Amino acid sequence: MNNLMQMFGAIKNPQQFLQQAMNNSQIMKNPMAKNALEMYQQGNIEGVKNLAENLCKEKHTTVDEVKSNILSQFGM
Amino acid sequence: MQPYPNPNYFMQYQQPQYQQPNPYMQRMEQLQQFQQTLQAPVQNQQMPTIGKIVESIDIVKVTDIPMDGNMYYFPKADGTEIYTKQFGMDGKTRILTFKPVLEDEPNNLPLEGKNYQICLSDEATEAFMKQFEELKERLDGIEKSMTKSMSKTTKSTAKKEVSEDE
Repeated sequence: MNNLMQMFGAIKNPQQFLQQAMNNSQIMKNPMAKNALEMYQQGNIEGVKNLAENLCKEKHTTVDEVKSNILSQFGM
Repeated sequence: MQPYPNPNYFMQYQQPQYQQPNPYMQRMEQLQQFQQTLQAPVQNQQMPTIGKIVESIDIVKVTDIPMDGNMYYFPKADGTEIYTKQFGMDGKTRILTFKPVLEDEPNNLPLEGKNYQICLSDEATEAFMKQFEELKERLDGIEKSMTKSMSKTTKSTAKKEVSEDE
């Protein structure tokens, strides 16, 4: 539930969400998360997309599957 | 007669006001500081995260690891290799293979069970070959002498037979 609320907050105010994430030491310790945030901050959406695709490959799934899973949780 | 003519007699033998350097205390302080510095790096060190013991690298490839960026270790069951798997910044995993190195000969890898061979030095090989040659020559000589003696006995028996028939 908390994660969903955080997601809603991120969608509503991405800059604030980004700032909070950058201040979170746990997130910044993770090199992958740190890289993703930095790329997003720099506007490198292609890089973030590639990272997401690579992660999905490692988890033996696809971006579309993950997206449909999330949407199904909202009844869409 | 006053027992203590000098009223400051007692005062004279009191400890002086300034702090004398106590080498023992100084040494204790140094040791305590040293111990504190030792403790700090130990706290920062992380224990290695062991994934699990695996039979081959294929199992490492299909094993999921957390996306925390830590390196996970997968020792091989026979102890010949250690695999590590780690998420990179790009979201891809990287698998490394570590093999042991022998201390005496750093370029040598440990012998694999099935391909185990005994290797001799050149000098040892030469000595063995010499011995084999000598043995071979002796055997040839014995064989020749035996064939000669066999042929002699067959000739002598043939002569006897001929003389008996006559």
